[in-house]
Amino acid sequence: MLLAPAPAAAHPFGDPQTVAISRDPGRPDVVDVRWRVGGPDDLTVLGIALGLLPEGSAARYTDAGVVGGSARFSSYLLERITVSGSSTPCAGAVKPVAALALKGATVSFTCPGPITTATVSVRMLTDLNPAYRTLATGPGGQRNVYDEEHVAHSWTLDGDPPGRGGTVALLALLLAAVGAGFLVVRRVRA
Amino acid sequence: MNSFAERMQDLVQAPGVTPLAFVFAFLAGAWHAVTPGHGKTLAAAYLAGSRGRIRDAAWLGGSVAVMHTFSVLVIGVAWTFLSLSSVVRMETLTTWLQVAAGVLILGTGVWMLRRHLHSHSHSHSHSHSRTSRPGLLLLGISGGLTPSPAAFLVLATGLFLGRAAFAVFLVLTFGIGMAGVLFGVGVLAVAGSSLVTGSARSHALLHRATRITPVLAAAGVTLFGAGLVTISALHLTASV
Repeated sequence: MLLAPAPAAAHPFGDPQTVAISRDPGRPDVVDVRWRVGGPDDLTVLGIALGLLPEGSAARYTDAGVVGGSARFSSYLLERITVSGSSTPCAGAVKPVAALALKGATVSFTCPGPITTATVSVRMLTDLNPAYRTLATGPGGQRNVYDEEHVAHSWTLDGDPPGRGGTVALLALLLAAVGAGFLVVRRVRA
Repeated sequence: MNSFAERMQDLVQAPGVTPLAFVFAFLAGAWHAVTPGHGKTLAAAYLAGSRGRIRDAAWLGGSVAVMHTFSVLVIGVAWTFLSLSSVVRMETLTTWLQVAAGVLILGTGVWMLRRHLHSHSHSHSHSHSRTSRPGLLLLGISGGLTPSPAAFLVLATGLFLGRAAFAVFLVLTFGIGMAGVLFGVGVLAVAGSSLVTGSARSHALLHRATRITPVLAAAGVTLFGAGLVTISALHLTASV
């Protein structure tokens, strides 16, 4: 799945990359999109692609600092993540990056006026490998998955979006069933 | 990630529920079990060394699948709804699970060795105890403890898209694919070992070999467990 094949195919493996979308509580015209990298190796792959790290270099813990502190990374973020209100694009600015590997990077988008629904496009890393996916969360438990074919999604920034209580209950039930089944089988077999 | 897993991943995101998705989930699980790891060699050694039967092979394959499904569900749900990643990074968690798997295997190996040595010093009757369920269960648990990246991602994607039931059934199918391969390996080991045991009556050398096999198997399992613990621990210290 990744350019560096080993971590994706084998145990152990890293988190998928994520974005978190939220509206600035104090400013109804500002939307924040925070991107968090998946495995640390992905930052190395990105650093190489952006020409910040030498070709073929192995992953090092300093890579996050090199990538996070670079203007090329900021322009990459602004190019791969965009936000628009009702057809008007919002202007993005990358907030100062600290601890990129751990906390990620946040882009603040300022829209022409107060905004309730935003279309957020995310194409992070899919130019490096089309198999990259981004798992996205928004206000009130909204979720979406971005990939090469699904690059834009509309998010409700206020009000009550549809709840997911049913999903959680179903999963809790399934987990309980699997666990109970396991115990019963053990009892019967023992 | 292999191409079966890629296809499964694409289909969980495509509209509608395609039966083809389950075919790919099964194949992805089988393929995942074919790749190194999951204690195939161990299972074979264990079954051969303890005179396992076909039903023991089924039990082993089944316990790996059940444990793997359980592990994927717990970690996938915790990651999606309880922001697991802010508590522990996935690399660290999965490496710790590897350590735990290694400890389980090591324990099983030591227990096999002790049991064998004990039974030999006390009686020379050929009442070698049969394959024990706790030992199989421990190996099964250790083989399924660490979720596969493909199964985890398909579940997380399904949960994120509100297609929980579909994704859960794909993960179950993935586990059945894994179980199929592990069962197959187990059956081969059982068949191979009964072939050797059967012909051992007429060959003194083979007869001796069948008596050494269990010790070798136990020692192999022990060494493997120790190796897995060491490698995972090194990985942990290197990544901190």
